[in-house]
Amino acid sequence: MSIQGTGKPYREHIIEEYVIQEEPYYLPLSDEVEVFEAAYAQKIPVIFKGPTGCGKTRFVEYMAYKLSKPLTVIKPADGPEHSDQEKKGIPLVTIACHEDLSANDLVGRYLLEDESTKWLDGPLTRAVKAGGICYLDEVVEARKDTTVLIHPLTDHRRVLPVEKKGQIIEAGDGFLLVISYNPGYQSALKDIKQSTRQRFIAIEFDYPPREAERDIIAHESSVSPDTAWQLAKLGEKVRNLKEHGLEEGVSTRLLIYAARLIHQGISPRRACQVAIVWALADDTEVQRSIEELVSTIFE
Amino acid sequence: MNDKTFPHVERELAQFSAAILTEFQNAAPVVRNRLSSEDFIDWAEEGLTIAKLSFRTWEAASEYFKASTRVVERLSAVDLHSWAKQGEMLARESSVMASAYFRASSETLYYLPPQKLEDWVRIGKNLSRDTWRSNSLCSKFFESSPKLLRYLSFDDVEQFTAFLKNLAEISYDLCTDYLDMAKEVFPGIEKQDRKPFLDLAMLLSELNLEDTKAFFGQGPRLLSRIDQDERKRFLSIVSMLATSNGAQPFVFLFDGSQAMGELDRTIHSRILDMHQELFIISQTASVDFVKSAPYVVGRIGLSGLNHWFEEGRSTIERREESGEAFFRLESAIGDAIIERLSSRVELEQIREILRMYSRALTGRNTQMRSTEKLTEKGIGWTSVEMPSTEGTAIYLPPCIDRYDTKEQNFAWYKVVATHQAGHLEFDSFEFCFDTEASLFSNQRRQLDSEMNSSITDMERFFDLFADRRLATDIFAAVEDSRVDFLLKQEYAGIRRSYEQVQREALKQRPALQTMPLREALVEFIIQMSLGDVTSISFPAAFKRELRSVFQISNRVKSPQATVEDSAEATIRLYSILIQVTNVMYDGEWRLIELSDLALSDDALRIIFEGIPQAGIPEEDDVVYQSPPQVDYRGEFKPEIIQLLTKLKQDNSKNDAAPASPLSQEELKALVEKSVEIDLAAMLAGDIASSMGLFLSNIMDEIYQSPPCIAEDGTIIVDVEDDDDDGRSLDEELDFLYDEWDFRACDYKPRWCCVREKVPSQGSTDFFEDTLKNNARLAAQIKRQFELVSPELFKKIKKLRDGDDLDLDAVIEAMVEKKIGIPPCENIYWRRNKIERDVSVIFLLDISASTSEAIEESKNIMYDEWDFKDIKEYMAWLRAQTLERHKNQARKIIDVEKESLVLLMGALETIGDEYGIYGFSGHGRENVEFYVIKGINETFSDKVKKRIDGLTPLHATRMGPAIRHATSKLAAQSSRTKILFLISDGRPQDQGYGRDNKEKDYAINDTKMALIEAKRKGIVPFCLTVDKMGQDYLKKMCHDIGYEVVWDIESLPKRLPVLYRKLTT
Repeated sequence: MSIQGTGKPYREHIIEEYVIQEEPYYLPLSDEVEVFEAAYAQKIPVIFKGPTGCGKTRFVEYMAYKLSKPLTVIKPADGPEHSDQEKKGIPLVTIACHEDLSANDLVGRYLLEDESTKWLDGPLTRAVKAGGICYLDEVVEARKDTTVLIHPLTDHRRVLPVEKKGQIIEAGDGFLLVISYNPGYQSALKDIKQSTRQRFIAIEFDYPPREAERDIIAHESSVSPDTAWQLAKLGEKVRNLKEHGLEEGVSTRLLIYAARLIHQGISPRRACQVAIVWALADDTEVQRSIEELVSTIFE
Repeated sequence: MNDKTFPHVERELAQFSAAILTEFQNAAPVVRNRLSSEDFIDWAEEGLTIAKLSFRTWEAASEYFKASTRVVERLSAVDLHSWAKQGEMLARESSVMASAYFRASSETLYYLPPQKLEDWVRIGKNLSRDTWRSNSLCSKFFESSPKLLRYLSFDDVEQFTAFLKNLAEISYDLCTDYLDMAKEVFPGIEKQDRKPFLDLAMLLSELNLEDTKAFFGQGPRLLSRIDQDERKRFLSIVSMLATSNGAQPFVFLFDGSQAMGELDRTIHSRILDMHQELFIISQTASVDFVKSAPYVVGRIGLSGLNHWFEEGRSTIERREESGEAFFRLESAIGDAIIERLSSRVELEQIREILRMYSRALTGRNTQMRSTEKLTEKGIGWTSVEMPSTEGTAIYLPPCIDRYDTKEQNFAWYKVVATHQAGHLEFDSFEFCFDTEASLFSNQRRQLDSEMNSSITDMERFFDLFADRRLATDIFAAVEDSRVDFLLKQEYAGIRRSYEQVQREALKQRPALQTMPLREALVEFIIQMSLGDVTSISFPAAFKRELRSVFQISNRVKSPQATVEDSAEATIRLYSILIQVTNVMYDGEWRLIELSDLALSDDALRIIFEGIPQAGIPEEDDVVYQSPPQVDYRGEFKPEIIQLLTKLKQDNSKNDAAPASPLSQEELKALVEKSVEIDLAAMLAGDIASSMGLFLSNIMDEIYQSPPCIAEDGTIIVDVEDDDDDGRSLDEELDFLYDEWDFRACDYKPRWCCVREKVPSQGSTDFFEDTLKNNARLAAQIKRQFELVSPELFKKIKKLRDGDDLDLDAVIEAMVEKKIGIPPCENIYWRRNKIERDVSVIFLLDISASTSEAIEESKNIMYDEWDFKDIKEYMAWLRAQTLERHKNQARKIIDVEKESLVLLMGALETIGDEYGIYGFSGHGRENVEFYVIKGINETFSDKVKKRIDGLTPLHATRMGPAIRHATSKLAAQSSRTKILFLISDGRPQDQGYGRDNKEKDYAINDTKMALIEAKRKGIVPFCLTVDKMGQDYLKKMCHDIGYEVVWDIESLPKRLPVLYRKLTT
């Protein structure tokens, strides 16, 4: 987020005021754009499946933009004041789920204010009210009670029960629930229940093929196509190590980080070491083997 | 001369025996010639005197006459007289002695000056003690004298005799042996070393007779191992050791000289210098230093040795025990130093790295294994030096010490692994007969015969050629060239070290001039594949062939080249080479610039697209032989790999009918045809039986591991034998662990071998019966454990953030606010679900002592170590056990088992992950570790049966068992990890301590193992049923939880209670 023309070193956005100005870069690998558009039109909730850093979040941002809607991001715990909605369009509420995230965090809670209590809407409630896309990232990480909320929102009812206030909120027209999960490293305990997953259509993501990944890396980091190609090659090779020392292959995101460091003048081997080798693994043997791979590919 | 004396003497002699008369008559003429008649009479009278001395002295006299014929030549009349007198003196003592003296005289006098004669007799006589045995020793001495004097100075002999005399006080037989040996020993020892050698033998004989004898006998061999200039010093070191300490000198003599023999002679002086430096500090260490020196020098060279020595010496100055372990090579610190200084890289250390590396490159599961493993299989690979692959694993030499630094050695490993991985990555083994090549026109089909019945595509391809060996060599060279090119093209980073290795390989290639022409052309292809050869010496007359070979083999160095291109190139190269007569060319060799070999595009097209003339093999003068292999490329066997893959694939397809899809005959035909298999080199014996063995090896290889299909469709055969999964039950896994030496304050590296096994299975009856018999207790325990679970859901109050406002806290906060103090902000509550997340391992002592009956152990208060050694104790125990079997008394182990059964029910209730293991063992090499229930195994009837199958075994080496359990627990992801040790006594085992009586060593090692566990985030707990336990548990457990259960019968009740306490 660049800051232009303001005196402050940062910029504060109220939920509805934050709009992405430029089109996010997204390189479609298949027909996912069409599928998502169709699902949105038909109000069918969507699951994104795929490993970390392969572009799920970028895709949802891109789709929010593409559907010509302003994009709004808030984080679950830091909702200060509730302000009026003015902007039209469908905000995108991204919520990163973690293991302590409970239903209350999503719906809202009472706060003490002066001599009384005051209700504060949670991010999900806001998205439902605003009729935006609510993106629950890594949903399996959240506590089980959150599924109670998801179910009525994802079938024909499209309602959000707010138990503590004794209310039911009907979702706005543009509301769509999108959740993501990474089937790779979840333990059996944290799998999504069938009753939940069968309420969504699923779009599968994976790391792009070498050529596409080269283009993505080159675009995101401005390195030369050749360097991008080497990084894409490294990515492909490291991903061979998945489940053979690594839980997860290297993400496109990390490859881009490495490319950016290279663009800034860090030597390729060093850049890969900090951005890929050390970021991926703690085990010295695994680190060493990836490092050998790096030194095989980069001069 | 007075003739009358003759008959007089003769008559008297005749009275003794006819023999003596004959001797006299024989000798008389000879002696007469030499002596004056007076002297002659003296001589004859002397003989008579001797004969008359006593009952059997005539025999000595007979020898006297006999010897005289020779002796008379060497001695003057005076000396002869004294010689005779000496003999007479001896004869007075013993006729045998005198006989021996006379017999040995003539030869002895060859080495001995006459004036020493008296001394000689004196030292000989010294040995005699007026007994029959001593006399015979003395005789033996005289008999041996010529041999001794031949090599020893008289003084030496005198000393040796003194040595013998000492020895004689102990055993005459021994002396006789020494005398016998002396003849053999002394010739082998340099003159100047003999005296020190004898001195030493004398010194040593005071310590140990047997060893001294061995030393004496092996003397020449021992000394020959040591540099000539250092022998004296070596011997003096031994005598120094001998005068100061009883046990060491022999060790140093035998092992030390052995070690010196393994070292270069030029450094012997330096080694002994170092030894002496150490000697002042610690004799033990100084001896061990010499013993360890060859290993250390082998690993890190002489400069490394200096460094290592200095480290060791400073260690020993800090702490003697540490230093001694250091020089014994039983110290982790020492190991680390050697490892640091050594440039050698061992496959074992980098195996995982290379495995993941090649997995990353190829996307396939490739094991990295030592080449030894591949040759062991006996399926066609013979070289231990050469890297290779058989399609599923990459085989590398076990260690590399080619360069001066670790980095360089590793780089070599990496290049080699990359090359082999390259074969897999660029599909060398995926050759398909019908796939089009991309750079050449397809000629395989034209050449193919209709009748081909080959099993694999590779075989079908090689069937095209009359000279299969030539075709195989060409294909290997071209394919290696292609793979190397692609690797360097694809991976810029490794290019430099790759080219370095290639350059070195190129340097080792033979010169073309030394080879017959056809071989030279193959060699040319290989050399071109190794780097940018710019010019080559070659017969000018064959420039046309050289040009074609150059162009074709360079063609595959292209990013588009596939294995099929290599095959097409092979066809073309073969047709050229087969027409070149394989002879040594003695015409003109000219240096040809390869740049001159360029061709126009049209000409090139003819070579690449055209149909090569079907070559008719020329009559060869020299039988074609394959050029030597390139070291980093190793063995490349596409044909057999395709065969193996195919057989494995077929095997996995028809599971129902595991019979080979191939008949033995077909397989045999292929093997006979293939030049990749050199049966003669592989297996000794006749070809027919080798073939049978080979085929059965191949079959083993195929059936041994059911292949599975990986995600990407490749066949992966997991032949990893040190993998936990999928092993059969009776298989044994070995693990090595360090052991803590509290005296040295250091670990003994890789000291103990833990062998993990699955115990024999009994029946489930024991399990069921226990539950039945203890139904009340079982129910009680279960109830207690069920209570544990609900406690886990707790409503946590007074939080900053939570599910809802905590009313009590809100009211308090409001009150605080009203009275004007800052209100507490923690006004929320949250229902926190604390998931029970416990892994526990129960480590059960199943040593022999657990077979003790409970009643007895209550009464008899003895310490196990009242027994002199473990064997005695074991024997006693076995006897006891047998006795008790009759009485059917309850044993400690029964109670242990019962407690476990009851606890298991409870553990299943609350869902903790738990493993139960038993341990015992004998010696550090055999720490047995029995898996009763693996920590990740689910509870089943098998587990029940294994519990029943538990029987008391051997000793208790706790340390390694704890370390092994720790490593298992460390791999668990649970938050709480508990190691529960149940034992019945102190740790003890053979060699678990300096001697069997020592208790501290075992206790300290166990203590250290427990501390290690603690460091890894594991909570250890020790429980013992040994009433003497209090004293050593206190020491062993230090700040670790422990309990002594006084009444063993209460164990089943106590164990669950303890466990519950520990985990909540």
